[in-house]
Amino acid sequence: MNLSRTARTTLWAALAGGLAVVYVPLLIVLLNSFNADRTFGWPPAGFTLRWWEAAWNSAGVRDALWTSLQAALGATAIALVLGTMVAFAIQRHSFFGRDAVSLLIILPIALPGIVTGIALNNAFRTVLEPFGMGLGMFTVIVGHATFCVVTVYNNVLARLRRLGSSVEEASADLGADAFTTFRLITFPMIRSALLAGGLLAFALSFDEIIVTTFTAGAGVKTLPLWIFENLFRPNQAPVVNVVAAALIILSVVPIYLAQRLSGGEAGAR
Amino acid sequence: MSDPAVRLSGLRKSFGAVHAVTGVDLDIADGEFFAMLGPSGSGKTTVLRMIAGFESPTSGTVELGGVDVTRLAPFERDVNTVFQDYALFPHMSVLDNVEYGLRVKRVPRAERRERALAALASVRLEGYERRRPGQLSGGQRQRVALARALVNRPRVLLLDEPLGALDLKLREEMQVELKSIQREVGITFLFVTHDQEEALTMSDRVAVFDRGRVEQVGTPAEIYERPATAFVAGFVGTSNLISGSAAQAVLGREGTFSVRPEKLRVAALGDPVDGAEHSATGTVSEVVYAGPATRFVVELDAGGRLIALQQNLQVSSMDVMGLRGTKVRLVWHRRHEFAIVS
Repeated sequence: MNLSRTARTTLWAALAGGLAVVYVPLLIVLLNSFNADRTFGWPPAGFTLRWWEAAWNSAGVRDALWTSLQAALGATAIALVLGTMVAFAIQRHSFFGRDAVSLLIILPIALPGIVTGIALNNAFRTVLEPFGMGLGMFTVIVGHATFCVVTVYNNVLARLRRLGSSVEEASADLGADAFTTFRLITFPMIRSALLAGGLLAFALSFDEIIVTTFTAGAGVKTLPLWIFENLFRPNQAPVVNVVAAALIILSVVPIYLAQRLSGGEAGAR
Repeated sequence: MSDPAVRLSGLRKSFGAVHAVTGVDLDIADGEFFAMLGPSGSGKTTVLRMIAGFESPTSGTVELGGVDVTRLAPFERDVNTVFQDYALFPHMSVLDNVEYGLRVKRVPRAERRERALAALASVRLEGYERRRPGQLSGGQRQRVALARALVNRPRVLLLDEPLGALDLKLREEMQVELKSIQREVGITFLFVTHDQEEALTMSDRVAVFDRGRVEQVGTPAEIYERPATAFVAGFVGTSNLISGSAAQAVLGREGTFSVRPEKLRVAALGDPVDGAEHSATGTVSEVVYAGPATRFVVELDAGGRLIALQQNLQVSSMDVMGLRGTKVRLVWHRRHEFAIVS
């Protein structure tokens, strides 16, 4: 389509403005993590790695990071298993209520976190407490898994839909039993979808705060919870800044990889 | 007499209330090039899938070389399939695709490499071993699918609309090539098609399917020259039916009769008619000039219409176009008219 010069300039300006609103603050967080001035004066007073060092040596940050990693890995593992299974069920079999099940699987990602959080909090306390179990790491993982399943499910479902079932029939036709077919044909063909879905699930879980607030017990502090707690303590501000900067980098990588994996395959076909 | 390569007995398949195959009995001989021809929804593909083992019959049996395989899984049957969409494994090279069947059957690496290369050579795809299916044209993919199936030396090769996805030119080339490959390897080829020309040119025998049943089995010439039913007459070529009062008036007989268009001669009204010939008068309502031949649509005075195909041996489009609206006499030899079951 041909656009006039003015239209093109305006659209470019609009794009730049929109992106700036999102990315300039992020950039400032990154820059400030190296800012020698404790109160983040502008322009930066000088370059320092002091805050990075302080964050690295902070036991609170380390514990929170480790907690977050455990929660994200746990939620991702559950999401990979359940999401893949349900995607196969929906795509390869027809059964009563299939559309309803599909909707129920996707719904948690659209549900406000606060609703999921309150509901899970009530449920966990009602069901688990009689057994002497309280809120803790397990409940955080389950809470995160409710919406992490969706990303794996969507990725695998889309892949299965595109593959069709004729390659699996071809494999059986050439003499491979069901297990061999899965190992040599189906799994390699959905592998990148699993990875993409898993990375997205990991990223979703890693920075989740609302559901976490309601499902984490007293002893469990994920990185987002730690940040929120320390945000308004003036002497912790530089360290919070460093953690935020580190999180930006940590979450960009999996999203970038996930997008390349799901987009790259499509382009190669 | 050895057992037939494929024997189908009383084969039926229903999907819920839909009866896709309603009783098929067929014997296909060893080394035969056999076509299952029919419109979409006639049950031919379902029969093919039951032979491959992807569908299990509601009732009836499938025998391969005298052995009942009705209850066996696809990977336990000595047949291989060339799928309509080829179903190549996109994440494997051409060579790995072709080797796949031997690999899962644990054929030693050196032997399977050798056989795969030979199979690729037989479909003229040397030099493409390292390519991915995504880097090949439609015709090349089709040949990879063929090599992948043939390398296993199955008792029967099943082909599901093998040429359906190719353009006309390539399709004609592959028809010839498939036929010569089949002659070379000597494997029974059983293929499904809705294209009557493809079925007639390639096969030793043809089974014409309609609504889940076999209407007629025979050589291409038998099917074309002596169609058993009105459906076969109409599906394989132009039916040209003479029936009811027209049959009485023209042939002096009851029933439904058919004459192929190229067997009709367009003559002047006063032309003499041989004792061995029949004729009918009518008005030319349409003239279609198609290069080597011209198609005349003639409305018979006795009722009904016949289509006559005349080779343009000495005439041009100018000559034949002038015949529209004129009265003519259509003449044919009696042995070219045949009664059909309607």
